[in-house]
Parts: sequence; structure tokens; C-alpha cells
Amino acid sequence: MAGYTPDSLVTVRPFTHRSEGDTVILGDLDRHVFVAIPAEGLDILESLAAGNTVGHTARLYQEKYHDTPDIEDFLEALEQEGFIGEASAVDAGEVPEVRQAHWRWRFEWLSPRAAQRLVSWPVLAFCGLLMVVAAAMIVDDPGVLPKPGNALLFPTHFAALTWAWITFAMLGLFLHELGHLVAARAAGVPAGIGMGNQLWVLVAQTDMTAIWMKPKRQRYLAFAIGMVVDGVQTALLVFFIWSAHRGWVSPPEWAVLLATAVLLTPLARIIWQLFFFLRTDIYYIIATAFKCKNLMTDTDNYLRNRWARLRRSPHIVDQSGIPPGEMRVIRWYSLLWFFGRFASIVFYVLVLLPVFWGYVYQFILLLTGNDTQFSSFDFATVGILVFLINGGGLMLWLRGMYRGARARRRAARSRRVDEAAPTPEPAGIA
Amino acid sequence: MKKLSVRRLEPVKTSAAACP
Repeated sequence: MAGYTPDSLVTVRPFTHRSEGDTVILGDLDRHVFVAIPAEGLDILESLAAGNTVGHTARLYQEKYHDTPDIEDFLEALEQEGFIGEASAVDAGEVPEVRQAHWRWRFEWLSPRAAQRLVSWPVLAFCGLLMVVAAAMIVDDPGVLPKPGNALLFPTHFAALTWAWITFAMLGLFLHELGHLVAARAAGVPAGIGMGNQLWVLVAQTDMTAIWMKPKRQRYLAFAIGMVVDGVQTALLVFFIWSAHRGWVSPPEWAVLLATAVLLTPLARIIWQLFFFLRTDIYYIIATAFKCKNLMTDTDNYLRNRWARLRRSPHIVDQSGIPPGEMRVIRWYSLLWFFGRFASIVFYVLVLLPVFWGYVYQFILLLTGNDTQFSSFDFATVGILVFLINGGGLMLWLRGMYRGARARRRAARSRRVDEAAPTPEPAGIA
Repeated sequence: MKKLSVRRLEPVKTSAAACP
């Protein structure tokens, strides 16, 4: 860490910036790091980049704003994020590294122009029309909607239809993320699709952090497009099932059963948007609307602080650096956070448990020697596979909670040991 | 003394669960 004296010359690494009211967003596109600084901080950076010393830069600031800047702290913070360094340190390559995830699918062949056409107003308006028509069909015939308890218990061709269902579910998921990638490409932002995890669930993820450099309208579109893709998937499936119910088309029975089961997946993804304790697409839209820089982490810390205060525990996260306006949003969002927790429990009871129980019930019938709906082949292959996916998620979740509790107990123990020690050293808590 | 804050922006990663 360099100490900056008034005579110091500072090397400013290449950055892009965008003004947003009284703050400026700085982006280091090579390292994929983005920070927000007060607008007047940009004057300091530009003065340093022009070759002025730290002392001269501070004087220029004083003349313009009639206030003394805490330039030392500001520069140290920027250095930590890798935006500046002393010339010698930058030459030596001592800039903080940022670990890049390995993204497999970038779809380099899709040009920004083609992407812009795919998310143009006429296309979006047409998608909206499809959704309105589908909504009217659902009102007309609510029977088109799947019932979680039996939609996946196909009475015929169980194994084949379950494999087909998993294939379509994965395809739909991929199209949802592809929508985000296309919107990011249309905005001219690098993006890629990869695999990640949220809680215990394996997820497909689109990383488009550089969207921070784009105006609000393009960010809204990049976040909302996933729900448009899910809405269109829902609409097309509803058209098919509704027409079959009406007798307008007469597909084989298994095709209607499969379409009804596949319809569960975009509907589940739309409901999933209400889980405000996760970084869902709607979460990013809310964070964008209220100009929050890191709403989820700030909300987590806020709730942790509230909890610590209730327990009169001294472990409080310092949130004094957050502007008062943003703090108000965080307090308000913490209510949504609880609503999201509640919604996920309701979803569990109304959707996941019936699905899970449907399989378990057939398994119990088998164990008790009763007639089951499944053939032994069905049981041996797909029933067990789906059981593993659902049960595996549950197991991982429980294991995570157990390990978390164990780590907290260990941390508490090592804290007690530190407090009892005659010479308290600042110990790292593993 | 005017304090100038530097706040790291969160990564933007949209995700969808890989169901049900």
C-alpha cells in the first residue's frame, strides 16, 4: 500500500466512466471491476491522469469546491480496487487481480446489430400480444394450467415422457438465459452463459456485469427480457393445450400431457422471480430503479445488524458509508426480503411437495406390494433420477445448514479463547 | 474535510435454476 505525499505522481489505469446524477460509475473493463465515486472525484482522477501531483490536484479541488478533500483515503480506496497505482507499482504489475469465472458460451457469432433486431420494439410488442392472448385463454379455460400433484406422473410412456420433459425444461432454461445474453449483446456489453449456484440449486447464469456502464433503459431491458422469454414459452404451450382442449387440433394424448408438464417450468421460473432474497431478475430491476450499488449485500448486512442489536451483540457491520437515500431503500427492501422468504415457503408447499409426494407415493405402493402406475423399468431409471434431483437438493441444503452451524460454533469457540488469552492477538477466524 | 467514498458495484449475474 503506497502512502501518498503531496509530491506523489499517480498512474491512473485506463478506465471508462458514466455520470449518474451526483455519482460517477468507473469501469475497468479488462478486470471487470466497477465502482461508484462522487462526481467531484472524477476531477481528481482526471487531474492525476494529466500528470499533476497529489498536492496540486488537492489545491485544484479546493479552488473549485471550496472544501478540503480527504484525498489520501480516496486514493488508497481506488488503489485497492486497482484503478490507480504509483507508476512503479503499475509497471511492476502489482495491480490487484480479479478472478474471472470461466464462461463457456459467448455466442460470438451473434452481432450486436442482429441482437438489437431480436429485442426491438416490434418484437417485444408481438411477445406482449402473445402473452395477452394466452392470459385470455387461461381465464377462459383454467384447465390448461398444470396441477403440480399429477402433471409429471404421466399415465402412459412414463420414462420417455419424463426424459422429454427434462430435455424441454433444460431447453427453456437455456432460452431464458440466452435472452439475457442477446439483450446484453444488443447493448454492446460483453456477456457469457455459464453454470453457477444459488443456495443449493444448480443454476444457469449470465454474467453481464459491464452493463453497469450503460444507461438505465438498456439495463431494464437486459433484466426484463428473461421474463419475456418465459412469458412467450408459457403462451406457446397454452395455445397448444387450449386448442387441443377445444378440439381445434387433435394431437396424440401424450403430446398434451407433455406440453402441460413442460408448462410447469416457465411458470415456476416466473414465480421464482418473487424470491426477493435471491438476486432474481426483478431484484436487479429494483436495484436499478433506486440506483442501488449493492442492494442485496447491504440488505443482508442491515438485517444482520438489526438481529445483532436485538441480541445486544457487538458484531455490527459499518454501513455509515451508504448515502441516507439508499439506506431508506435498503430498509424498505428488507420487508420484500421477508416476503420473498415467505413466497418460497408457499411455493414449496403448493408446488414442490405435491410433485415430490407423487413420486414417493408410487414408491410406497411398490414397497408395500400394491399395483403401481410405474413399470419396474420406469422405477429403475427415471423415478430414481428425479428422486435424486429433488432429494439431492434437499440433502445439500441440510448439509449446508449443518456445516454453517458447525462453522459458527467453531468461530464462537475461537473467539472465546481469544478473549480469555492474556495477550489478545488479532486472530483470523477460520 | 470532504470524504470521498469509493463503493464497489455488485456483479450482475442473472440466474435461473437448472427444475422443479
